[in-house]
Amino acid sequence: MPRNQQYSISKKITLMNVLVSAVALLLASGGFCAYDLYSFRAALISNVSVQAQIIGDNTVSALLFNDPHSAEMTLSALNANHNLTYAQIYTRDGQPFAGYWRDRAGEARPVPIIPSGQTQTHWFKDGQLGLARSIIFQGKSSGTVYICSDLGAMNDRLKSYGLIIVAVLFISLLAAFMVGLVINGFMGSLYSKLETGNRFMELSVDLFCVAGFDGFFKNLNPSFEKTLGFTTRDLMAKPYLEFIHPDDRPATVVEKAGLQEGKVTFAFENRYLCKDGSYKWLLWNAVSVSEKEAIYAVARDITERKQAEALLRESEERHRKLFDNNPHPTWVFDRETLRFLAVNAAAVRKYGYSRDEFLAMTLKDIRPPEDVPALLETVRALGDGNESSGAWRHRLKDGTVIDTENTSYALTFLGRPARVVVAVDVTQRKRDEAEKRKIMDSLAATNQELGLRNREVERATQMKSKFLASMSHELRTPLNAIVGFSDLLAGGTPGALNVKQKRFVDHIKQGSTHLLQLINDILDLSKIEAGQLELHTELFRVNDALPEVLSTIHPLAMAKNIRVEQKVQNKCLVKADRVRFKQILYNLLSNAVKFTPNGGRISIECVDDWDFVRVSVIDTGIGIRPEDQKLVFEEFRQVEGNAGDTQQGTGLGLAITKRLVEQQGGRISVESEFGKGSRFTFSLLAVEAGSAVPAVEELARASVTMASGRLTPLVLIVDDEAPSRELLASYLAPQYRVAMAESGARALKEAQCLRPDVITLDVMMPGSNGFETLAALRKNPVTVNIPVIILSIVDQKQVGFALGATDYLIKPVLKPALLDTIRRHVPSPADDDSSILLVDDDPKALELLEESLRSAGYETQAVRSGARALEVLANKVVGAILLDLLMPGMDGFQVIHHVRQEPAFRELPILVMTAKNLSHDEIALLNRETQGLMQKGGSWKEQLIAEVGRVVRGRGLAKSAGQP
Amino acid sequence: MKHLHGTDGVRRIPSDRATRPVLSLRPLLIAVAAACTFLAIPALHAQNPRPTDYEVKAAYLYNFGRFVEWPEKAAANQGGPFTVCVFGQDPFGPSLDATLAGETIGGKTIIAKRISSAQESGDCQILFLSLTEASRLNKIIADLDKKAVLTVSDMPQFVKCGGMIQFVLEGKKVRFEVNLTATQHAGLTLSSELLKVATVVRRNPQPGD
Repeated sequence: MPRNQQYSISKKITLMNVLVSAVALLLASGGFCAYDLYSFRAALISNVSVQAQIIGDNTVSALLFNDPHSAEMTLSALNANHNLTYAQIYTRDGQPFAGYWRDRAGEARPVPIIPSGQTQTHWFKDGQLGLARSIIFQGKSSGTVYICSDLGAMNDRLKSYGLIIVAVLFISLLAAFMVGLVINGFMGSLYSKLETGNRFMELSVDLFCVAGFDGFFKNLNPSFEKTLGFTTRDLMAKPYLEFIHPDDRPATVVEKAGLQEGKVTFAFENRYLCKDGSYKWLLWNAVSVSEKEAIYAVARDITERKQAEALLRESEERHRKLFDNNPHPTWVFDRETLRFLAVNAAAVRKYGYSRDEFLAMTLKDIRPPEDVPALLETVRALGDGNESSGAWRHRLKDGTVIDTENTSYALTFLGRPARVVVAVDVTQRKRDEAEKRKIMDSLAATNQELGLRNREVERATQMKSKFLASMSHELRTPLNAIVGFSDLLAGGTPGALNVKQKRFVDHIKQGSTHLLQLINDILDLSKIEAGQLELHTELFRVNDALPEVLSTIHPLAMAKNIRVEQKVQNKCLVKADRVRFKQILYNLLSNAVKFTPNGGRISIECVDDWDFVRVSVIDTGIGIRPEDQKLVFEEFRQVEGNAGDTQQGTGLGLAITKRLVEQQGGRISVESEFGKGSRFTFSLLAVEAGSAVPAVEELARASVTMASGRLTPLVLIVDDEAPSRELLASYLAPQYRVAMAESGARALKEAQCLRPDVITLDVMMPGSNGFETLAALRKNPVTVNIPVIILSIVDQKQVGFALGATDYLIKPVLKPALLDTIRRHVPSPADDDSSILLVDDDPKALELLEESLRSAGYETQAVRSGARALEVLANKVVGAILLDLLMPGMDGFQVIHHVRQEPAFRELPILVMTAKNLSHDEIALLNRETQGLMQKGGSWKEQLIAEVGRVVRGRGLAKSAGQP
Repeated sequence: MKHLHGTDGVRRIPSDRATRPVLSLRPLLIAVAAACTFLAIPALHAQNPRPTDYEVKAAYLYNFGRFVEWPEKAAANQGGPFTVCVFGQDPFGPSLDATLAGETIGGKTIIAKRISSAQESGDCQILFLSLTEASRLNKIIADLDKKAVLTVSDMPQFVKCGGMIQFVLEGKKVRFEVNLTATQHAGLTLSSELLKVATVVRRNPQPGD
């Protein structure tokens, strides 16, 4: 017990002691004191009273017979009591009669009043007791005695008491303190003895208890609770036998009986119930003390030991089983004698020896004789080493030699150093492995071959790509020349042709156009098949992609007097490659035109169908027979067209179209009735209305609305007579593009749709005549500002001008006049005096371009290299650059790069014309850096003019608008 | 000192008892005395004046009765009131009656009796001999011999002549002498208290002592 704890306890005890003693003492003293004083007082009063009485009795006669002297004599007897300070006799009237003074005679005090009904009264005042008594003689009051006593005696007494108490207190304090010290020492040893014993009991893991002969626990240490879970109270509440496992009870009863007789219990085991329902094994030692009828016992929890024992047994059993049941032969051999100490069933089975035979053998007996030396060597080398494995040969009883793989490890068996070995028969495995190796080798050889072939295939593919790439360029370039020049020839640009010449040239043109188409188609197809067709997907409205296609189709349609209508919902928004879309549409439309007779009708429809947008091209052509409908999309399939078709198809158009559609996630189909017409429908991924249609769109729109800025102006010819229309068209082309309307109503429609730069309007027309049409045009906000030139046989100029005509010409009109007038109202391309820089390494291409542009009224300068182009740019102002990409030395891209480097040329329009197959990135770059991109070949001429016009005019407008 | 007030503190007006005339002068004297007393009473009360000698003596007579024990077979101890007799001319007047009224001695009521012969003193416990009987003193004493009667008088030489208690005047105070032999002879026991306050206590007083 720690000293300070001990100290404090003894201090407490001492304190308690002292306190109690002091309190007791004080109480006792106080009590006695008080009582003493009280009784002293009473005694005093009594005393004085008696004295008063005596005095009274003895002074009656003096009073009665008026003898103060006698009274005084009597009073003087009071002198005997030193405490009496004063006494006085009073008459019945209260008059002082006789007095006594202890110290010196003084004045008589007034008579005290005795309350009626009382004989006597007393009081304590000023440290004195005053007592007054009536003198009663024979029942009659004769006077009053008054005696005063001081309390000196009492005070003395009090003082004495005080001293005594203090003394006693002091002594007892001292005593208590001494006792405390003694206790301290005593406590120390006692406590530590107690504590040791107690601690021993409390902390011991073993279970200590005292039980009575009556079968109940009397005392338990905490280990009981900890071990069994029941609280001490629970355990003591019932006979302990109830907590014992039923099977162990009889034995326990016997033990208990033995104890009661005086025997000692040693190492007795039984099971005790735990709170959780399980049982714990306890090992008991007990003795009894018969006088106390108590059994003193200690128990130990051996549950774990028992469990361990059980586990061990189990484990041994398991191991034995494992050993014996091991599918591989297993044995234990003595390391020194090599004798078999134990074998399992598998060994017996495999080797053919019985167990007894084995136990009589050594390891040597299962080895082929020639291997024995090696065996001996190995065993020696292993020594005490632990695990080892090795491949060996073993000999069975019947002489068969097998390959084994042995794993062994050292152990002590039956006290001898031994090894346990597991021998796995690997004979079969070895064979299998050999087999496997062979196969592996052949596989490797095959792989190699495949590798070689792969590389060849790759090379082939590469070559194919290269082929396509070069084909593209190589084929198109010469074709370009052929088509272009024959075009120019046909157009009479170098000079007029005679009829025959013209015809020949036309043939050439046709042939070359056809060839070009074919080549394009083949290349497209192979590209698609090679998976090299790159699609540049964007969002755009069908409506916006139509005009270009239409403008290309129009002339063709016009030639056959086929009306082209469009019913496109404005919300047809698709996600597709714009260029390919136009290609698809052009293909279908050109087919439609091809197969529709004169005067027919082609319409383009577009509907929104949830996830898809369906575009249909409907014609009133010859139709397709049902059996042919399946075939139309196949390659090189052609259906017979009208007799006299000058244009032969390539047979690839629809095949390509189909692939293009499908590659963009759509489907194409045809409905047709032979003789009535056909309806080709293709679907493309729709985009929700409201999706961001890229700004490029807007730009395109902007440029569309700047219709009047388009430099190849569009002239809408309104005349009900076709010949007139044709004539005007021939005058206007190629400087102007031409659209036609055969009625006023149609004219309004076309004007709204196409927004031509100028309208030529015939007056005499059925339906609404020219003037009405004019009025309508002027009323319509879309068409209100379009210049209208009235061409009429009749001179009604005032009416015309009054209605808002821009000019009035009288038919017949001569070409120069017409052109002049138009030019006046619509600036022609030739007004712009910028020159175009042509850059191409191919002189033929250059010549082509020059001629084309010049005929359109442009000035041109041709250079054959990129370097030269830059030189020219340095010295001269140009309106635009027409640029080839594939050039030796500096190629088109580099030119673009250099041009764009110069701040002055940032805005310089660059149009790229190329035969190159462009990659996505290249297209993106060109889109970024250039204003136009055209493919060499195809109907490039009009496109070219248009594009040039667009960029140059645009720039011009921008200039006039004040932008640099 | 006995007061004119009764034991219950109530002022009593002395009853107007007729006194037996003995001499023609005496009644007049008594009457005058009574009248004086009558008249004096209010005056006494108003000023609380000192009582007269005879008033004091009357009180003493009563008080004597309280300090004396009569023998058992004496008339005093038998039934009947305690009698205080006045032999001869009554000097007290009503004051005696007034003093004795309402008082008791030994539980008996006290009455005052005026007698004129010794024969009448049969039932007297206390006998006051008036001065007028001075000439017949010896005879009276002889007559009363062995009778338990306390004889009191203010005659000079009373005790010497065998009287028991004699009033004397000391200055203004009324004192008394006691003849112990006489009292013993009569069989009367006097309290020592009484003796204490007596001025003289004689034993076997002889005439001429």
